[in-house]
Amino acid sequence: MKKHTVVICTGTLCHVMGGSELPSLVDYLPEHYASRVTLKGSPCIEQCKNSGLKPPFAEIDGELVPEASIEKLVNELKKRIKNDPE
Amino acid sequence: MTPNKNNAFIVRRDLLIRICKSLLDNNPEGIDRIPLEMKPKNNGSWRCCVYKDRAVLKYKLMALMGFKETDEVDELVPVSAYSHNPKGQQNFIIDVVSEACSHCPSSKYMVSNFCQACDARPCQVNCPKDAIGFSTGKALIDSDKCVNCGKCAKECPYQAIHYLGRPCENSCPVQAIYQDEDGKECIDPDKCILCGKCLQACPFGAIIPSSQLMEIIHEMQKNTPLVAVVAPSIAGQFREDIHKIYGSVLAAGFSDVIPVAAGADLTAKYEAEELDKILTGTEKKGPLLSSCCPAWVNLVQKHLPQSRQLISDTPTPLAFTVDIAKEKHPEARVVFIAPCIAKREEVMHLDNCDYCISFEELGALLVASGIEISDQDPYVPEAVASDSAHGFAMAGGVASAITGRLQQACKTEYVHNLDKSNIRKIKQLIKSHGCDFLEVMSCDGGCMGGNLSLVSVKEGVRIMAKQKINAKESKPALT
Repeated sequence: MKKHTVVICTGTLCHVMGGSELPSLVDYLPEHYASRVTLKGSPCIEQCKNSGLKPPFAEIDGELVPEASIEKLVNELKKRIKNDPE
Repeated sequence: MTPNKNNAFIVRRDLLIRICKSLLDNNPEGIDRIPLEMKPKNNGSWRCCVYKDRAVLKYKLMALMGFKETDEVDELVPVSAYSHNPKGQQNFIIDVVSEACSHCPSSKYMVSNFCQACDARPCQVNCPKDAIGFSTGKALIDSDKCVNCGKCAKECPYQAIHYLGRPCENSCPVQAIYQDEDGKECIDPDKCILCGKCLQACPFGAIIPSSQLMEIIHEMQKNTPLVAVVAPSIAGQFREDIHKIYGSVLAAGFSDVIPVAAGADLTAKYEAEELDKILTGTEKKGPLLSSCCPAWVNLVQKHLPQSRQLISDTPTPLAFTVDIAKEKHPEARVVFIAPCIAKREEVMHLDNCDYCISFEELGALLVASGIEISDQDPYVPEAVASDSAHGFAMAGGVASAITGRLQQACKTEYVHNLDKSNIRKIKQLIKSHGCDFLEVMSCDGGCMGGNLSLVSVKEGVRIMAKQKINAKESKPALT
């Protein structure tokens, strides 16, 4: 079964700018989805320094998610898991 | 509106970070560019136009720097000019920024277009004041007769009747915020208890706490030694080891860190002695009321005068800790790092504490200084405190620390989140003498849910649970 990787930026800026809940993402996922997601925290992923995008930042399967929220990440993961081949 | 889960506080933090950056870079003129950078042209606007957005940001910046809108004498003076007086005007702790205020319509029930003017008309039938009539196929509420009881809204089968309120006024438990004749929202300082509910409730972020960050940065640039005394709830503010958090505070420019938990042990000890005396005494006046939360103490002083004599005489953990800090570092300025705005007022009354910044401001300072907490060396403060003292951060923590030290059985209660219904509950508890010791914390969840904290209460509690504050077995050294 395919696993999706979520990387949460745990840098101080992302934490202060609204990302403090993101590392608890797994607690907000429906149980049958939780096993299909690998959650990783990462030191500052440097997006705040060079992109015009807004924090907090996360990545799903390597794709950047700016202005990340629990709701946004859960939604994106549900979409991806639904599209996975059985 | 969930605190910490909306854009109003994000904008405030962004402003704080940008002010700090400009000042740390010795580029105060950079502050003038902040509204332009945050609201560039051709990028849409939130209010009527980008210029209004920028004006809103300008006056929010001024408030954060300690100046009211009314302190502006010449509109052409750039906002950076205010940084030359880092002290600010010191004439407010929180203020409504009129430029940012949306001047919401007055609180009342309104009928929306969903009204079908049905035959049943339960709104009209159930209205105790005969305030509802019908015209042009829609119910109409006569505002002269309406008493805002809400029966019509409950009865409507189409959910067509809604309460439109001013969020600030609705959230205020003591009716301290009101609109004056000119439509300007004002805070009555005689009634305000600094609970910060309006600050969290305003959807326009128009209620702004003044900040002492500029002054602290100014002191740092003058190389004044600064000692940080930090509230126990800091353990839940960052998802890092508590000692690394202390290390980051040092890295930000402080010369020492003293946890307020050190003073909390003393508060618990003396408050327990005070309670012991009351319990063994013959005179039963009512429950002993906790004295830690300044917003709660304000509530009693201003709105429950008959209960004033019930408040504990024991100094707060902060009061004890700043004395320890001044004794250890007589040459230094003492800065309290606090979860809320009410503590700022307490600091103004303490001889041994010079400044107060919130967790939010600490976060802004760390970001502006480019400090990654995970990269910092851990710092173990000299002053040790018991686990129960660190527990003062959570609702119920004070009560449990005190009963743990008590020589006899006693009944304690705790109430957190000073909203209207909890205030009624408290009045009842005091009147009926429903307990021997009553702990009250103004914020939801206690200091962990402080109105200027960086995380939600739920997340704070989660982080706090993982902290190994007293990793090595330690005994409280100060009791």
